[in-house]
Amino acid sequence: MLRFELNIQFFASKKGVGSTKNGRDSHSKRLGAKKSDGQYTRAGSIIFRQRGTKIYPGTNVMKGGDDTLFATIDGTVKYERMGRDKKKVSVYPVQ
Amino acid sequence: MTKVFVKKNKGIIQYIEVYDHANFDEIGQDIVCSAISSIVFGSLNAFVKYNLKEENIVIEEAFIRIEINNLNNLQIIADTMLVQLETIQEAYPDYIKIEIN
Repeated sequence: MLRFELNIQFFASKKGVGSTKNGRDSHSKRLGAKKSDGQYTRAGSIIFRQRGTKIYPGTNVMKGGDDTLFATIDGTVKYERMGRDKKKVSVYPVQ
Repeated sequence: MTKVFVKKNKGIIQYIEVYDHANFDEIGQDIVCSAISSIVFGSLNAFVKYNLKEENIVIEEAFIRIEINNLNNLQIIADTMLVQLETIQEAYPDYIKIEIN
């Protein structure tokens, strides 16, 4: 049976708190694409982490509370144009 | 500050996201992080014990997302997890923030 081992400092900052002047961990270096175009992904997997909606959720993709995009089915990731200057990401089932 | 985002639909919890660092103290001494981590990892194992599928759980660095259906026991586990996190928020409001949508 699946078992999650406790990481008791899972939500602790990796850096010394003193080193981030305002105590806020920017999280920026972890944003961006987690799955690339054409890559296979599982339902529930994160595809793109962002602040605000740089990339919009397309087919079989949902947007989480922190604007993260994640797949709702198993399939292949597809980055697509949306309108004139926007982009969306979709997941299509493998044929 | 660790954030907790709870998505509900007609009072049923659909998914919970817990993310970002508590930043109460340095790693290894961050007691608020320890409390949050213990509750969340304990709840993960409870969810799995009551047959939540692995693909409903996403774990990345300082980010956990749990998607649940409306099965009664999963909702009870999720509610219990939230009550515990709210109890931490009452004591440490600067280090954990819960948003229910």
